[in-house]
Amino acid sequence: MTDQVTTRTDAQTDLQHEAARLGALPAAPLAMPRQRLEHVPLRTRLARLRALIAPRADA
Amino acid sequence: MADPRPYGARGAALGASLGLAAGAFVLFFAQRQTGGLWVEFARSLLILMATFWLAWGAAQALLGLWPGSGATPRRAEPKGRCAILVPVHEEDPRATFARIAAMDAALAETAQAGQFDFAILSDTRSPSGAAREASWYLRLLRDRDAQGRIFYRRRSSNAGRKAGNIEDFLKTSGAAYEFALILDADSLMSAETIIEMTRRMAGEPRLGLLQSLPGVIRAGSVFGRAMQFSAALYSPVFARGVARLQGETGPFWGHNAMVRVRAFAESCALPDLSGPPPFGGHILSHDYVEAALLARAGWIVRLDPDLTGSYEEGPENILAHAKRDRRWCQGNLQHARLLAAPGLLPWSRFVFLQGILAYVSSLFWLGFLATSILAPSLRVAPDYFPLPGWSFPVMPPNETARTAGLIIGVLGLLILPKLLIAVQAIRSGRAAGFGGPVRLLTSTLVEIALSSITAPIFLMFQTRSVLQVLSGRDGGWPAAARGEGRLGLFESWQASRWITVAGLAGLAAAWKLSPELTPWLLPVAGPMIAAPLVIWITSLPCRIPFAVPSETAPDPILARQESIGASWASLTDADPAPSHPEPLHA
Repeated sequence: MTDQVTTRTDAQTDLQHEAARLGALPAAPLAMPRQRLEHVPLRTRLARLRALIAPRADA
Repeated sequence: MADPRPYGARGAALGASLGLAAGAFVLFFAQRQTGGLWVEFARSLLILMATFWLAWGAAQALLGLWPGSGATPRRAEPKGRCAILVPVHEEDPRATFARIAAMDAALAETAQAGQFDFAILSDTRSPSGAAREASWYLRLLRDRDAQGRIFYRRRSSNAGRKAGNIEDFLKTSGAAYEFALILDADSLMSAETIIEMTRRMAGEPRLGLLQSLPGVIRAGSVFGRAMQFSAALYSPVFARGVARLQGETGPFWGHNAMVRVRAFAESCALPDLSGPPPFGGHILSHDYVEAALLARAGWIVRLDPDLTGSYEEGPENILAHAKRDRRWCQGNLQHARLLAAPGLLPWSRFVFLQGILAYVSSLFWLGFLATSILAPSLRVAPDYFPLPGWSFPVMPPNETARTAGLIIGVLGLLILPKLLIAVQAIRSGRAAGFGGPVRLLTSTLVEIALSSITAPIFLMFQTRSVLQVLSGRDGGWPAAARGEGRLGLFESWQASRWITVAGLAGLAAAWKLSPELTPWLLPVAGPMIAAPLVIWITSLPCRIPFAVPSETAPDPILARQESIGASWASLTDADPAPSHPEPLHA
């Protein structure tokens, strides 16, 4: 029984590997820049500004 | 071709809808009973919102009926390649891949055969589902002799769901294609339509997305065939109205649409929204947002309702429809987060608002019914002589007359457009596809009766969906319910007994608090009480002759799919991959 299950699982895995090999998509990458849909909250803007200024203040 | 400045159509539709809604408010409020001012104001406000939504739908139909078909779209021969994308998630691979085989075989017979590749983009997670897909893919590949033309990829993670699936493809292979036709697992399109879409895309370099109007096919149940008839008869007219309203800021319905790959890649990588679902996280109804983002980037998004040869399958019973609608409800309500998104065109924001209203309007109707039942108990005794020195009595307005007026108004806005569309179909000769004028009119009347019975049940399901989303419950990403939709009576009872209880409670409250309203509530409460029966009966095989053009004059692509499906029917899921490599020429 266990052998039968193992054999079937192996066969399924083989089929999936075969499908992945034969079905491989063409390699032609394209950039997709993430879009902005939310306004940046004031608190975040202030934090960014602070981070920008802080190193200069240290210097 | 879309009017680039559809301000006249928008002004007319908005003006008429607002005018009717304001009229309903004034009439209702002016006729208010003495006392209970705030209750009456709330009722009038609810009727204003609900009337606006109904009038808006009717206005779209009337715009669609308006004569004139617009300019002929520009065409050119495309120079680049087109990828036909089929995202799948726990679908039946035998049925889905038979559709792909049919489209591939149809395209192979055209002069443009070499321009198209198919990509099956799997998000299936279950090991058994993945194994079936792999097995049927190998069958498809060998039958169609399609290595290097029909691709199959299964993602290791479902990030971004369907939108993320397409994004993943574009990031991997997008540069190889000029256009991508986005399909659903149940989509089917004729080769002529696909080629025509590439020509229209090539003819208008600013066109970022072209949406076709999918017709519903292969319905078998009472509910499914009524939906199929409704989609075949009314949808082309409503779609023409939508196209006239939206112009170059058109809709994207998520499938059976072609995109310009560069435009889509530049504009449509969706971010996750801050916060948890249902309002934060992954954007569920991504298609509307992608259309808005393309428009924000200056691309034309267009719906061409004349593009026939585009098909999908619909839900076969009310429960399957309600399940899909739960997902759409969450997606549309989530758009509330995007109403103020930076840079969107005003019309895109309005489209979001329209989607939200489509679901929230169910609360308006239910709120109106509840306040109408409660109103008499909050009312003070009528004052027949409210004006000092006026010797004639002022009679309180008749609630029954007001309710009757309301029902007539609602039915007018809902039914009149359908009847006008049927009459136009008879006058234009379109009725032939529906079995002739008599059969068309009979089917229309039966569809109207059926949709009137199912409307209160959908109202309840929709209200529950809205309340679930508002209370923060995420619907997740269930697999689509396809195929035969026959339900058992017990299953129907289990899924809808709460609607029966709500109907009985509403009717009992009306009987106790405002008995004169009880008969007027019956058209709503009756179907609610009988919901399990209605759901069960409408899921059974249909004996009503709802004739539709896709059956009276079927597109050859349907026969091709049937033939391939039949040849695969005898194969078992365990071993569909052939031991011989002979290709099948369907």
